[in-house]
Amino acid sequence: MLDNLVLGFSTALSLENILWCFVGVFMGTVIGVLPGLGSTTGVAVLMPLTLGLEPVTGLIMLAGIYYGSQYGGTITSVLISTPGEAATVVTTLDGYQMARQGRAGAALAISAIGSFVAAIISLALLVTLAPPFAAFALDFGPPEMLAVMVLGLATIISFAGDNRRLGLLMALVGLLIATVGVDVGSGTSRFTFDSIYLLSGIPFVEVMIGLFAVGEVLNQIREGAAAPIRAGFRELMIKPADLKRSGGPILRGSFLGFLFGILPGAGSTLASFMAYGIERRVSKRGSEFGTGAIEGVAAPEAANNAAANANFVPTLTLGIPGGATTAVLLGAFMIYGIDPGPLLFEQQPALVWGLLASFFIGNLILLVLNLPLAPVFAQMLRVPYGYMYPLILLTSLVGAYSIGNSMYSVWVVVIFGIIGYFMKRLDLPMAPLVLGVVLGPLFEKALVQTSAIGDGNVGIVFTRPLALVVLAIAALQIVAPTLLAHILRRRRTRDGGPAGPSAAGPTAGDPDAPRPEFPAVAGNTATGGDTAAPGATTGPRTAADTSTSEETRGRP
Amino acid sequence: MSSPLLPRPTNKGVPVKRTRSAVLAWTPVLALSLAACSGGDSGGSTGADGGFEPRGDVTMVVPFGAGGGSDLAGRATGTMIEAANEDLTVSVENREGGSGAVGYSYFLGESGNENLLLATETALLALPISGEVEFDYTDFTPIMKLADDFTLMIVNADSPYQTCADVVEAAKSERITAGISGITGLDNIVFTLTEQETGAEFDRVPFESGGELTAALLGGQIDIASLNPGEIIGQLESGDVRALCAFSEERYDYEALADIPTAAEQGIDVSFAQFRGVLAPGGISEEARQYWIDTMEAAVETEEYQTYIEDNYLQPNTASGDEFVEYLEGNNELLQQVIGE
Amino acid sequence: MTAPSGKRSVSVEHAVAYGLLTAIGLLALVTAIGYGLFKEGARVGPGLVPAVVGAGIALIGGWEFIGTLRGRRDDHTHGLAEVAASVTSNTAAPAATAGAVVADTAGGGGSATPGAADDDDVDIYGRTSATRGRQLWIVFGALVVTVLLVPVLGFLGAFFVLSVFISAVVERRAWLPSVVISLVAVVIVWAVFAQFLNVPLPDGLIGIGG
Repeated sequence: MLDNLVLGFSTALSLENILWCFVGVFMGTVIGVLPGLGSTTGVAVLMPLTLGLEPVTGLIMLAGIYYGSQYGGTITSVLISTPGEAATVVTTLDGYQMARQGRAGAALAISAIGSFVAAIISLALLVTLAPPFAAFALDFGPPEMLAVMVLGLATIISFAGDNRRLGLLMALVGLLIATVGVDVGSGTSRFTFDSIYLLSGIPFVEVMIGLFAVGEVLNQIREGAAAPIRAGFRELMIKPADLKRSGGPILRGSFLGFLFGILPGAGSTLASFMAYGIERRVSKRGSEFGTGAIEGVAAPEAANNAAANANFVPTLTLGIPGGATTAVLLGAFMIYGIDPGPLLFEQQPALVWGLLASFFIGNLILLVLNLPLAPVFAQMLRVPYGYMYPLILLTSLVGAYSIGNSMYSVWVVVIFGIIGYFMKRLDLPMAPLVLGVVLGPLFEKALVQTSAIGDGNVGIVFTRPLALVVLAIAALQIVAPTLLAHILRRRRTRDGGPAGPSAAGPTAGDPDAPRPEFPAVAGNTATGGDTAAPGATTGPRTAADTSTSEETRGRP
Repeated sequence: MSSPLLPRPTNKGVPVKRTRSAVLAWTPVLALSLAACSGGDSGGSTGADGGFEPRGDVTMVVPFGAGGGSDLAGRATGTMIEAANEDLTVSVENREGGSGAVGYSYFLGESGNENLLLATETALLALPISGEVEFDYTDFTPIMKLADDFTLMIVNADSPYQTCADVVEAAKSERITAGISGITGLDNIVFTLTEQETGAEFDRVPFESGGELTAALLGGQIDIASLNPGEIIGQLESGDVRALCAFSEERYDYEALADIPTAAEQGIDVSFAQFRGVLAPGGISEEARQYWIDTMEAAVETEEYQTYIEDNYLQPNTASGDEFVEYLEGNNELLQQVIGE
Repeated sequence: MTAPSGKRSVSVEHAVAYGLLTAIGLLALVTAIGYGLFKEGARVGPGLVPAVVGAGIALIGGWEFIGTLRGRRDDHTHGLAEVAASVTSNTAAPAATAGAVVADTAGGGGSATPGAADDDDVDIYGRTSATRGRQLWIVFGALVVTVLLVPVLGFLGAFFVLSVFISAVVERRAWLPSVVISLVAVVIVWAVFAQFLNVPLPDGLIGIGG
């Protein structure tokens, strides 16, 4: 095994490979920084550039693009609340709040560090345990996947804030959006209104760009220009205390991410959502989640990166794509003339181990590149929003167009942009909707397959031990927060802290939450009449106030 | 193929109808047309001597996403064309959506565009039969059929079945679950043909790709699947799965596949292939059509063609121009019987 | 919740949203039943998931809709009655004692009721809530028009115009910098997408574009 790693590193460490890895990481970051564009799009759009290279070099560059664009997506998640893909949606919750408080640098740095740690952990797991994990993944047939999807949908509970009803409502809307298009089971086209574009469903990436990028732009216009965030350079740097707080979350996130990542399908997204949900429960600062807790950035970012690596378990050992991005990468394998499959490790050891080693190198480059750059990126927030948003509109719509070379994508973005605006305005939580759209097709497919395998009896899911375990965890997920919240509330009341959510309502005006003070600006006359919103300021829209637009309010 | 890393020089001086932006075109258009039109014509789309030359960049539309089988075919075809005619530069454009419907519909709208080709396959026939689209194959100009991709019946290595006949026999008395990759998928068509031929019945479990089917086979979730050799060769070679028969007219020549008997040898007279080919838009001039047929006939003589065929375990059954049209007619009728209820 | 000041009380909009969702849910339910809930052999059919999901949306949406109308909502304080009342009091005593709630209400309907008194709640450029509400719709309208203009002006041409329009007209910046910044942005996008990534951007009738 060790000699394999040596082989890997000796392949990956050739000057040419390092160079292309760097180019990949860099270009990936650039693509990822465009609003709404994340790793799947990044890899798909940049893949043709790698076709002229040697297979190993090309794959290493692609892996670099993968990580780079993932990190690029994180940058936009933190700075402008615009995730590049479903897996970084969770990062917006606390990352954006941190940015609003002038701590974007710390958020970006912890993402890079978390991703790097996760990369090392998952690489170690990948190297030692890939074959058994691959076998384990195969045990997840349709009934087990159905259970996993139920578990995934149950995590919505963690993201609905105080109003679970609204969370559920939005998740259902997401599921409904996901049913548009040709049905897997029967080939029936549903809700397509005779449009050929709707046959393959409402494209997810475009929905995300619309909801987050364009929706946020419209929302910001409505909220009014905030004072640009002025943060000293020191505040932009990550502090030792931040690192200490993030250690546990990063470790837990890495292992969780790896576990979910080896399952085909929604691995990364599910992993990041789960990591956030779990961290929120186990953390002493659970109540700060959603208001800019660094744990809420560290855990999902680590999970997301570990899952991205674990995606390669089925990809490399079985030739079965673990996720959307690895599916594109698998296509690249074919173009290079490499047959992915169980024999890949034997037939192409230099390629496989070189690729694995390059994950490490790529993440190292990312870390070296981004730790110093994080505060610089954060300076982008100093640019007045009025200058920024025409550019955000331009790049997000060009990005959307480039996904399928189609104006249809652009229209989807525009339509979901206005929907996203209204969702923010009406405080309808967005994360459950995203989870619904991502998990919907997978859930339905697993359901249809389970019913086919069980000859009409979906109940076979209860006869599968693995599925039962997963379902039990899902049940726990639903029940636990209620219990926990109950206990917490009692303890808090005793400590004289704020009462439970019932009193204050779901508000970002959590008196506990660290919020920066902004001086009142002239023109502010009304101060009274706002009793129902403790801790909120009236008057000029300050950066902190706009924070309420996120689905982050409240505690479990 | 051309290196996309090189910036493309601009050329706004050529007023040709085309979707590709003018700036993407190669500058050496003039040089190219001078060199290519032996008649010394300065390059109308139809030369004085009736010769046609595409102007600037040629675009190969792939109606599916990057990395899929069609994308692979499209890129390979582009490479072949460039190898056969050094003056041409082919760039691939993925227009995915609606199981190919979006790409074909876009192509329909490009009627008369002589600089455009499309990497086609069975979706060209299956989509119109499913009744969701406004085109059928007669709306386009078939140029060349490049290859046939047959399927193999695959079982898990532990499966009790040794031949396809075993499976068919078993399916008459017990429940056999067959994974399929979609209602209009090649595998479903093959299973349906087998059912019609033998009277056996398979219980379908729907999946969405060859990769998913492979996982389900390996995990023992389904009994049988029907996969292209290229999709399953890795697992076949490692011995994790077995191929019971090939739904092809003849046995494969490839060493790895030569031992697999055809279905007909086992008494099941079923053979059906997904074709791969090249289309031009409808409404192009006869000169352009002939030009592309000639170009493709040269392209399939190249080494690049051989590599593509062998890498993907295809059968090099080509048919150009009218032969391709004939093939489409026959194939369309057959498909209509199977999936057109 | 009453707006923690970033949000206004938006009960009317809530009612409309929940009403709309309820209708969509019901429509989905009915349509989905038409697709067939089950196939032969009790297999899950194409209509099952959308029907259940549609029913769920209709149920919860309907519940919220009724709740909003009756002012039950614990997290959105005002029912329609109160909204009406506050609007009335607004005209009676403009922006005085009624304070934030009144102004908030008016601002909430900003797009619908421009001109309401809301001289509090201005942003750092001194824009009132109503102004910003108008701006929002101008930008969104411009965005739609831009996309419609793509076939005429080309992708980049149309977005250049949009960018200049937003900078110079909506954000009232000087013309020259607006044009220059927009031009630079468009050229960069053109270089990255059209040149480098070979994305075939529509080039419109006059050939500006990719």
